[in-house]
Amino acid sequence: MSLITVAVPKGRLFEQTVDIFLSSGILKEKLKSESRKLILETDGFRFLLVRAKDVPTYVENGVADIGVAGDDILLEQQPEVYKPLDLGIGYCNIVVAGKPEDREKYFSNPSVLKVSTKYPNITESFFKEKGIRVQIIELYGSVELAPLLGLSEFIVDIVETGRTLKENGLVVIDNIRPSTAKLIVNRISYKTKRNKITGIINSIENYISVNT
Amino acid sequence: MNIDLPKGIRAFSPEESFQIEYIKERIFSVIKLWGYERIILPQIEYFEVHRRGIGKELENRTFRLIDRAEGEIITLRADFTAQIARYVSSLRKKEFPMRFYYYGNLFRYVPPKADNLWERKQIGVELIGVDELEGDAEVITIASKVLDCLGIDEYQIDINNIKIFEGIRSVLSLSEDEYKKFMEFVKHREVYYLKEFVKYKVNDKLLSDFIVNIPEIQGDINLIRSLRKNLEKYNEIDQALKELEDLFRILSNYGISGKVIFDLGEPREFFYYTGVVFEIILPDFYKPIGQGGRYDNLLSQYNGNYPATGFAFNLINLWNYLSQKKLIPEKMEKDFFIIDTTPDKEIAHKVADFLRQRGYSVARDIVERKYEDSIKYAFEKGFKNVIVIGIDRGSKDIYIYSVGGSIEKLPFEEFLKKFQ
Repeated sequence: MSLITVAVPKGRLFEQTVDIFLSSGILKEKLKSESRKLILETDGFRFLLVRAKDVPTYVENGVADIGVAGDDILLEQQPEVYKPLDLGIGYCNIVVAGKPEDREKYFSNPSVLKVSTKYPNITESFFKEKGIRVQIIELYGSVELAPLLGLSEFIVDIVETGRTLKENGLVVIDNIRPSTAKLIVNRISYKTKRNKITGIINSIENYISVNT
Repeated sequence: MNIDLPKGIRAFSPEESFQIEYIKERIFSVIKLWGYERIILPQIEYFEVHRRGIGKELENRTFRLIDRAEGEIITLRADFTAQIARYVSSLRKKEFPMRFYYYGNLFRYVPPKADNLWERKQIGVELIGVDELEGDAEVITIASKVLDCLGIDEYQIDINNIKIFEGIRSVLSLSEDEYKKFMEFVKHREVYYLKEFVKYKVNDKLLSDFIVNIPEIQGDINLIRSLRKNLEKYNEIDQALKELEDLFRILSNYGISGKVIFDLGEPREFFYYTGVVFEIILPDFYKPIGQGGRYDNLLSQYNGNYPATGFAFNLINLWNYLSQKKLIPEKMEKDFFIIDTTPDKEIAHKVADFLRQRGYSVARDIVERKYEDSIKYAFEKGFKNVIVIGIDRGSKDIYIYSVGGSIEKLPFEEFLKKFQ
């Protein structure tokens, strides 16, 4: 029997994913992620603990059959994978934020905006549709610093509770779209491990529809 | 000093080149059995002409140049099928069916990450002027026979019919934009978006169930039969499903129906496909190997309106798989390597000429070094036999070292007799 390899981001999404796998009866025993091991095996599954950003890469290249990734990452990277299931976890919003006093500037037909972000592609396509030119500054973390230091007026980032924004004196200025975690599947695995993978999808789907 | 190549480009070593050529020849040999004719097409076309056959998405990925004399934009070939459509349209006298096969490079920009290449090698067939399903079955079967011939046992042929989507489009009278969105959902198998999509558009439960489940509809011929029972009253969808049933019957005649999986959730990427489409899937291999399908409207982008179908293999990906699985020889075998330690090399030249006339491949050592080193070099390069002349001073004896380790000593005349 062939193993199903699952790429999951480390941290909270990993716990939530394992919970869903347990509650929907796909996994029989609890998995612990405390150790520093990056590969965990159980019940015919192999879990790879990777960075959220890297999940689509593992799945697209077939070293993982399935994975868990947020819309933010999927929209940014546009990987060639299937996304058959909305897991309803990892809920957040992709937003434009900035200092309150810059709100007016944002809505006053600006010809060019400076935006710092981890999501250059999402940013570009969002503003393209509005016909606004953006100068994008790519940052990999602590994006909230940018408006405070004057690196850019605005940022595009994901927001869960809004606490980080608030603590840094920033506000949400525009909503791009909500984001939830999706189950993603490698194209070839979907076809060649059909029975197993559709089995997993159906069990999770049943569990989610009963519990929401 | 920079001696690198551009990012999306690569060269192949003699061993790799040998393997690629080897695969190409095997594929040619199968295609020829079906009476197809080789066609050689240019590497460059007018952008304005080529673009009409390749669609918007690919158009943006072409490599373009300016024709110095006329100032026109010209482009490196991005697609063979578009070229063949143009070629056929340009013919004054058209006699159908036309059966062509081709091989060559094409150029499509991709971000040069990992092993993404701008330059692809493609090998394929086109069958033009046939709208009968027997034509679709023929190209699918050729693709299957090619894989058999290459020693690939485990593969599946995923088949779909674009007319199913066209049927849904007309039943629901979707606008251009709605249809595009719908196809995006299908392409990524986003069941949750499809559910919302049909909620306000479809009243009939059987139809909405069918549409929502499209991403999950994978299976054998029985699946198609049971779908037809549910969807009888939607004539266009039913006809499209019936085509798959009829196709399956012909594929059974050819003995390949066991390889077939119907996958209705797989729309093909190319804008020009209009009917039966298929893709070759290899378990444990994650790159596209080959795909094909019917493109009845492509020729009308140029001149005239003729049905057509075909397929293409991605030769580099196929080579990756075959070499990984060790299904092809690692290097070219050559027959003789001749070392001559005498000053005038007369015997070496005579023996080499004698053997080549009899069809053996023969190379000379030429480089001056110890003959033991030359022997080592020859076996590493894939020569099966090494001939050494002049080991025994003043004698015309010939030594033959063979791959297995055996050494044979023959007088010159005996040697000629042996290989006569």
